[in-house]
Amino acid sequence: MANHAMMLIDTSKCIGCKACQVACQQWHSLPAEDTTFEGSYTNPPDKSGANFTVVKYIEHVDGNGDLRFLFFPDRCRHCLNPVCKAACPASNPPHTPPHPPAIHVFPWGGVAINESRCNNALSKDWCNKECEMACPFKTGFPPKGVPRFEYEKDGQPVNNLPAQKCDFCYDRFGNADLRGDNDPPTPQDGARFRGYFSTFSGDPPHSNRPACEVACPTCALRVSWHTVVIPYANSRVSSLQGDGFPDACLYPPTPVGTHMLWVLQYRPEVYGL
Amino acid sequence: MTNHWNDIENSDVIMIIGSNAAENHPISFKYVIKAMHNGGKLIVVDPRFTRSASKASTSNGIMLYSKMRSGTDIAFMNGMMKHAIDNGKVNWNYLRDCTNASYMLHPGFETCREGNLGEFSGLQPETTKRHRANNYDKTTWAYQYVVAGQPLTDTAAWGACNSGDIASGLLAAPHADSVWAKLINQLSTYTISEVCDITGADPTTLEEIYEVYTDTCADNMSACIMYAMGSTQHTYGTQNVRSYAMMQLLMGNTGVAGGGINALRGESNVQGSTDMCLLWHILPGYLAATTTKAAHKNRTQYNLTYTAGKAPLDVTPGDPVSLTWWSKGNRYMDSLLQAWWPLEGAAGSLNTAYDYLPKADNNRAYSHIDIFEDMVTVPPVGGFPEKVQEIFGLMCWGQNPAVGGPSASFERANLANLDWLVSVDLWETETAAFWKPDGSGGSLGIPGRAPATINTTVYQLPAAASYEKEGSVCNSGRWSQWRYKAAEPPGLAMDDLSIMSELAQRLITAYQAAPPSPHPNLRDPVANLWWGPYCDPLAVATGGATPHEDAHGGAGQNYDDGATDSRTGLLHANPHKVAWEINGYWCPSCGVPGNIGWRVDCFWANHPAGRSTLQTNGATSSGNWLYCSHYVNPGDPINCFDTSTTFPGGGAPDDGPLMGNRQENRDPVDVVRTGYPGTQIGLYRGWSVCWPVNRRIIYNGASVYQPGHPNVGQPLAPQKWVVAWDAAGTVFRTPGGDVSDGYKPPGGAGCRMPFIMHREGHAHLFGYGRQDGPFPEHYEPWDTVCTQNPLGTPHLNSPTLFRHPRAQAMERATPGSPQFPAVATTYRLTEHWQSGQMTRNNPRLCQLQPEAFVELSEELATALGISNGDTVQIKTQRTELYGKRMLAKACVTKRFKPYSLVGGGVPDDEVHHVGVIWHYGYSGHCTGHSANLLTPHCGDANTAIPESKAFTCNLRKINPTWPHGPWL
Ligand code: SF4
Ligand code: SF4
Ligand code: SF4
Repeated sequence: MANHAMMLIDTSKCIGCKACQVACQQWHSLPAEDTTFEGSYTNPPDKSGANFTVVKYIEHVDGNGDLRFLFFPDRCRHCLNPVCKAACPASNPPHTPPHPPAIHVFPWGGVAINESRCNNALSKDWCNKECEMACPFKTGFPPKGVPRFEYEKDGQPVNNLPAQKCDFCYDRFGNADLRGDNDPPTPQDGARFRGYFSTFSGDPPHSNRPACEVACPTCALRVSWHTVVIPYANSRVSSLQGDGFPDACLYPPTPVGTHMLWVLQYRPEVYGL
Repeated sequence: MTNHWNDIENSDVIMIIGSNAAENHPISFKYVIKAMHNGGKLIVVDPRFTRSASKASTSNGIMLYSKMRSGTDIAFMNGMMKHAIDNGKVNWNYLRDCTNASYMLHPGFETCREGNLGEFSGLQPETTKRHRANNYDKTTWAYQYVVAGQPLTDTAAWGACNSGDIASGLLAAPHADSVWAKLINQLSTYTISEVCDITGADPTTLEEIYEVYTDTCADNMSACIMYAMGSTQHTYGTQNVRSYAMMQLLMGNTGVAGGGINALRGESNVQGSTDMCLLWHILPGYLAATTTKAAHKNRTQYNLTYTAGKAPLDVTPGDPVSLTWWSKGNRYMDSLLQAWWPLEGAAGSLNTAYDYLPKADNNRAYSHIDIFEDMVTVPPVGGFPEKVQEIFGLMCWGQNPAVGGPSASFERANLANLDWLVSVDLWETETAAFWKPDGSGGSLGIPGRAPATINTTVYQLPAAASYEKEGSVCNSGRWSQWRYKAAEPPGLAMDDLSIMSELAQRLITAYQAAPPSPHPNLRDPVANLWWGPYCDPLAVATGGATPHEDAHGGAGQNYDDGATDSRTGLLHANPHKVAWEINGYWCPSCGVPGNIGWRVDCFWANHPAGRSTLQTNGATSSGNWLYCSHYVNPGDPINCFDTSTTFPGGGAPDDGPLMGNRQENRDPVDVVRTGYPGTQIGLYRGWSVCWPVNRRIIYNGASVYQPGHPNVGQPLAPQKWVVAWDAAGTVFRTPGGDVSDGYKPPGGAGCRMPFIMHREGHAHLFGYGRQDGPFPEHYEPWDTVCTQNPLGTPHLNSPTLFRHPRAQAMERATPGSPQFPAVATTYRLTEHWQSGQMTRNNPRLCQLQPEAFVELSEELATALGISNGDTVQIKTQRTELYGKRMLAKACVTKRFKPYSLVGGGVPDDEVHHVGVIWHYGYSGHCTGHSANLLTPHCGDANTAIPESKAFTCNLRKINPTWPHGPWL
């Protein structure tokens, strides 16, 4: 595997401030959606057409009887083999070629929606939000995958959207654009951003990194090459295990399967994963 | 903060108590998380399990979070102090050399455990002060002296001053009249079990927290305390903070890297506004505000209180080993008078200027609470005569008391008693909109009162936001930084400075046009107020040298820069000129023609050309001595701070070509530390400028061994040294260190003790300056569920707490009243800010936290049939008195638990505890009820800060149709 970009989400450093959630909305010019307070700090309750990332709040009593307040910034995992894309009619023959795919996979690993090609936006009837159904990382009730198509604003549903999800802020990485999968990689596709990436040695986030990372006050979110992130993430897990969190683990458990990698203090089930 | 934000990363232990830094100061967690990453431990103490608590460390399998009923910090901290002393886990050298632990006290002094229980010696039964029930006669709160001014110490126990190491405790039992013995006596009742009875904490957790914290008594370890409004907004808020300060002294944690008492300021410039005397009891730079007391009768008397080597509160001259920095206060006062009224002519002019200063009635207070109490006529109550309305106009400048003030219904109602109200703000705040119709015949702020019956004229002056204006801000760590304007303000909005300048000039003109008054002080202070022409005339008046304008000077004559704002047609005020006046400059009467018009480079320094050091008698001006050095002469060769430090990129930013406005410095590279081994401690001395004299950690003289010790001048914690001297303690060897506090080498002649602002040079374990006691003592909140003090003492509340007779008679619930059986507190969210105008007008932030809510335990929810998301009504004595319902959504959470409360006389020794968000109001994009509808109009004995953090309440579920749920 070539060198891929990877974002580490160290939930042990996350303070649940939602700066990432708002920064993401702002960078993508997403509107505020209608919400009400229903007893949780999580708001809106799940990812939506207006929120690519939502911080989830979990109250958990652990094996020691200690209460913990856990935070999980939820967003697309940026799979190495994205099922969403495999299921997407507009990303597979006979649609592609000639058209570029609706779900684009960058050579450096990012998975992004090409909104102009998404059938929901094109109002074609031969797609039934396949990516939302196919994506294995389901949340909410009824359970839905990561890509979302609607939200509510000023009491009215907004639902004629193309698929909406975290795009790894590819357009902050030197304004790389979405091209056909068969186009040869160019330096824009990641390599030239080497200088922006974290070395995990206390360096401040470069402003060209994802909006959420730049906004995070505690550096819980860090982007680097997967060869840097994975050993660092493993070292965080072992240090947490020695520090009162024996169940600390990586999520998803196979780190090379996705380009977002979480460090969790408890088993994934505790986070509803 | 005695330290600063990024110094938190140097801490071995961080205790968050009375603040919720993760939620309300999220950036601070950058450094908390760094400290933890490097092995530091985080302790969180809070009534509720907060987002900060989520990050608490684990030690010996115990999570270092302790619950604590709101308002019981003192019990918690006194228990910790007792634990430290009982287990010998204190820093003995530090206590002897840097604090007043070894001092002998007046033999008549009695703690709360001696004489009358629950009070200190000297409590007076009655007072003429309307705002306080009792006062202390502080005669016995005093030292014994060897000779006048030199305190007597308990040498039998502590040895001679500064006599080498105290390895493991005292030589003998402390003298019964010593501070140390009195402290031990005062704390004797605060056993672990007593503390748990009062606070509701779990004893195992409590003891582990005490153990982890007191480990930092070691010389090379440090702990910092991060506190905020959770500590201060109590009737004994000052004593809460005192208890933290005393704990830091026991540990030797003040003046060192990673230590300190860190008040987290909630607004970007609240430190700056305090420095500039936002509060009524001070003048700029913390000079005492002038009052009717004899010592303030005239300038000579006032200055004498400083020059005689006394801090304003003190009564005897200082110790010879004390620098007593306040002895220079007369220079600062004279320079301030010279800045405000400089054209009074020669001899005696400053005396006249001093007389211009208003003299506050020594028997009254002028706090936020008083302003609103004085906005209404109160009939005779509690033996006090009728009090008539005195305030008829109000300027609310970036203030929204209708949401943010205590007892909001009372304060809102009083707005209708005003003739006029000016709101200078970005939006139409709740305060500005209080008179508008609410849709049911009443008005928004005063339901039931028809708008037509309100005669207050409300003016709205649209103001520019922080990105739409230029000027300086000063953060919690005292770092002052220049901000540039990024965008034009919308519409006719103006920056605050231009609004203020325009207003002042019109007032001055109006007063000047008025005929001379038989009472000159009714006219002249305003008519003669100096608003320019700026700087030049000082020189012109004497035919002296040309003042040194810099690039920012501009052509304008007054505070303006000569440019007219095309939108408003008004002159634009120039913040650089204000910064210049605040810094101060040499005036004609200095007698050195070459200096006239030059800025003073530093409030205190030795400069060959003699352009440093503020002077008396009008030779210099300075709007705020602490900021004298922030805006210096461009290219002036002085380095008043420290010449030994080298900076990356060559030259010292303290003194580099950028100079002029030091606040504009932005050198992001930390200082090079070559003088002494050890890691970087994040001083970043080239980033902005910090008062005093760019000293990042104040009292840093206490971070080294003191005179008499074999290691004199060497850092207590070499790995994170702040300042250091050579082996003899005489040669400063700290390239890359901090600016030393005290200036004199500890090993040399004329050395002074590290706590230079105190006349003794020693920090106050025994704090005689307070109104309510020299040591902290647990009292219950004014509005309490207890019928007796759980300590068993006769004083349920602090005897000297601040409240008006009106509030005492009406706003306080009967202690232990079954009508209000639960404890409530108030707090903020990450997602909103203060009274909500900056955030509740932002749809994206409203989306994150759309509604006001109350957090309550699962147990309480079950008892009342409340589910998550239900609407809940909360009542207190105030909602009943003013007939205003308070509704909020329910957040049923494991993060609140019922509290055990033993000894307070509550049924079953158990109470429920809830917390209410206070950001909401009736204006803006998302609205709701403010928790200040619940809070009482009473405050701290010393500061009058309102008690918003602990009161009694009841609650029930509100159903869409009658009947509603039961009350508790
Ligand atoms: S997480 Fe779901 S939406 Fe994201 S790349 Fe994987 S399959 Fe696609
Ligand atoms: S990487 Fe970009 S798109 Fe994805 S959550 Fe962060 S800010 Fe949003
Ligand atoms: S910005 Fe960082 S700390 Fe805040 S919620 Fe997001 S990941 Fe957590």
